[in-house]
Amino acid sequence: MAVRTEPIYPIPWYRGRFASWLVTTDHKRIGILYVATSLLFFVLGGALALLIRIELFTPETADVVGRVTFNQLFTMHGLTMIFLVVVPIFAGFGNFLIPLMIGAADMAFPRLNAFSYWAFLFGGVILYGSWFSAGGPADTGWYLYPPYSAQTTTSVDLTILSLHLLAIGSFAGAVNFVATVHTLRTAGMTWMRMPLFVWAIYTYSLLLIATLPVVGAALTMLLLDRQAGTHFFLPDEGGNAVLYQHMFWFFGHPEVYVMILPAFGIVSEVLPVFARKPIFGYAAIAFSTIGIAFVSMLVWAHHMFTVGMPNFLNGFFMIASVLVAVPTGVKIINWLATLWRGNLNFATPMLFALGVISVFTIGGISGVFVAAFPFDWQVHDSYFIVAHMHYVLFGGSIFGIFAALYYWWPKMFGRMLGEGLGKLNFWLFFVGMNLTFGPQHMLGLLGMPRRVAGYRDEDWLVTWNVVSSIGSLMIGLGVLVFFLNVLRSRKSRRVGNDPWLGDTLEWYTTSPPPEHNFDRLPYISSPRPLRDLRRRLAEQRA
Amino acid sequence: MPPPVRRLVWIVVAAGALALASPAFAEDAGLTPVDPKSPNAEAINDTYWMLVGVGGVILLLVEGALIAFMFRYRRRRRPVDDEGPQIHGNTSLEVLWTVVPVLIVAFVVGFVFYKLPEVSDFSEEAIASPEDAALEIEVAGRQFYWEFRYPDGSVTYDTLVVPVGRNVDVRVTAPDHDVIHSWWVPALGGKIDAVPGDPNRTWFRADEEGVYDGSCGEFCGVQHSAMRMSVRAVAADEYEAELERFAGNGEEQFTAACAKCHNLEGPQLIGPTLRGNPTLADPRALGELVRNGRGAMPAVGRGWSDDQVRSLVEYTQRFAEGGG
Repeated sequence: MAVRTEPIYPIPWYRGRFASWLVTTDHKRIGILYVATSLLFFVLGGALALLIRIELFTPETADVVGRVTFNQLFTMHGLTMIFLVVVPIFAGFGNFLIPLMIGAADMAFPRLNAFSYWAFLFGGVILYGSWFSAGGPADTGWYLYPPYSAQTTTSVDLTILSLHLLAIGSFAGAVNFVATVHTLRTAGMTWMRMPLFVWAIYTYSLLLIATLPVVGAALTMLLLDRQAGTHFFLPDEGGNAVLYQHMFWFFGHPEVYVMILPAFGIVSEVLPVFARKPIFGYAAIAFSTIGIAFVSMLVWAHHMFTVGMPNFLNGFFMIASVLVAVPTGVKIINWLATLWRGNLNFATPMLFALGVISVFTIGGISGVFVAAFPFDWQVHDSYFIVAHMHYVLFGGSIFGIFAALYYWWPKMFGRMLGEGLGKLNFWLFFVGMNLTFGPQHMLGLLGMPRRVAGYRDEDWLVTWNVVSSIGSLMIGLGVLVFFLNVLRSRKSRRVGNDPWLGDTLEWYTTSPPPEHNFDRLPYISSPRPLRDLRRRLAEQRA
Repeated sequence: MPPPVRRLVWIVVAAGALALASPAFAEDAGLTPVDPKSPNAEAINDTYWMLVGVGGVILLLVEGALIAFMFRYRRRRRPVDDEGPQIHGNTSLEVLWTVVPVLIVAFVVGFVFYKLPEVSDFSEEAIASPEDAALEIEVAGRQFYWEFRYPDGSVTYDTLVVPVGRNVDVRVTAPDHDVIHSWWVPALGGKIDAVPGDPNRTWFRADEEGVYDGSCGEFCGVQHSAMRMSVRAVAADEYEAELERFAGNGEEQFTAACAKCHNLEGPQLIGPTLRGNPTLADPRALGELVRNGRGAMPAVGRGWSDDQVRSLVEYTQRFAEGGG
């Protein structure tokens, strides 16, 4: 019997295997594109970090990479991890999950959504394209402080172009999330019945909308200073270099919460499912998210305690900064209370979520240290800050991201990631990150500044740097294990709608969900509609 | 893993941690800030210990509860879908653990303000000891060296000479054409940025003779890593002689302002290798070069006095002909 090779109906080009991804406006596909692209940049940014740690394995300055190259490495590492990994991967999870979680068929503006993704991708391509420009990528640090950023011959202009594109994409995405959450919730999905991850992405979006325009203005003024002969930030022509720092950190600090609040949201989704309990204090966690976001807009100058502000201003920013510890502490204690008397199942997503609690707490406490401005005068711009910030961003954001990857992978692709490799991945990350960033506290207290390619040849400086470099290799190994897991998951068993016995609406539809998400939806009468359904079924059976 | 193997792994891990931890506690390994040698650094150190106390207790409570709950409420043989008690919250508990952190935070803020005058009050009354007024030093952070100007007009580079026990009023700035640097000598107190066009001020009083290492604390360009400095605290009666030794010393000046980017011989470091370069012998050309910079070379000598240029030329002349 002859086999027909041509399709019975001609398939239009835009339904083709690859083309359909290029023109898609489906929130789930855009979400997956975001996550995949961010993971690619995560590998690139991680490789840069490994090069930095290899250079710092020995105290000699620039014995592995050149001096300028080293400066470009830490600049690109920071820009990559912030703008091309953590922020967009949360946009990816938000895209995939928000409509599913609130029972919508898509985002409010599907085409704008596609635009956001492509702006992100091209922003990233331009940033990495700067490696092929005459001056190479920027060597200024990710914050692009003038006057240095106005003087360097590296391609700060391309960086600014890239950041503008990324900011436009992020902004459009944030508007889209807010509109979606406001208008597309299904029947019965009141604000206080929304999953906490939706609260987190909603807050993330509000913060981006409030602060991205400010950094856009700062970067534009910097560009004018570089190319158009203005002198907003150039002191030798009467400008003010510190003004840029105020504008930059008015965005830059809320950006930190943009990177951590969705991770908190993920923890708040994962813990109850694997503890078989409701989240303790739903309202407190939701409002503490909003509270953190509000206070986070009042703390920017704690990045500038050393620029010589009067002490009443330093004091104000200290008080605002330590106040963030209050809603954050409320979250952590509520998470612990959620574990209390639960039925804890240590599957990989749960391990990463518990990892967030355990490691982020250290970063939170060292955050209070550096908010105390006289102590910050000692450790500002030292390795202590590098340690603090990686405990927050690696231990908080990246652990949260991996919890999300393991937890929602079956919903995205219909197949599980392996538990064995998953646990190996977790332990490599957990031990590796503590080895890498723990000793950096000591390096900072010993007087080692950040962003240096070499350091004094003293016993403990060398010891801690070596330990830190070894730890970073373990993290690198953990990333390899994750991708091995991804490859192997293509052959793993298919799963049903709800492999984890989840609480929220995304587990109501198939894995992966159909293009229109739901055929029909139950009326939502609590924050845990899936548990309600399971109980009703059990009652009927009984 | 079978239990005996697991136990063995734990013992090895614990022993390894202890092996690394015990000398770390014994020596100056970075578990505390650099040994303070100035009253402001001491006050910062006190703040650090307060934070360690408060933060340590919170850390132990949170991590302890986390580990205890993980152990106590692990699944064991229970079915995966076995539910725990459906507790949704408890208002009075939640109010409690909102109010207690507020009180802790208030304590931290209060302590910081209580210690603050010891750290940052460098008004004349506070720091000028009655017998001896504060020594005022103008510090300029420049790509990529430190320039110290003394009240008597002397200038030193990368090495600040001060008498022990005397308050030093540090005026930190950077030239308008330069970039931001940051003054940081950990044993003598915290940082203050050297911002072009925006003078800042800090102070210290070295309690003991010694050499205290410092660095530039704000990334400032290609040789940021090399922008190190030291403070030499000497006995009051040796101060004049020691300052004499460093002030106007061409070799110090060359090492600070030139040698970080230029090798004398051998391969090119950042700028061209210098020995045999005719510009070195030509006072006019060299003065022009250091005052204006060229291409990627910063204007290291913009604002230098003629004396400063002369002392550099006198020193570098010897390298102009391949000899020296």
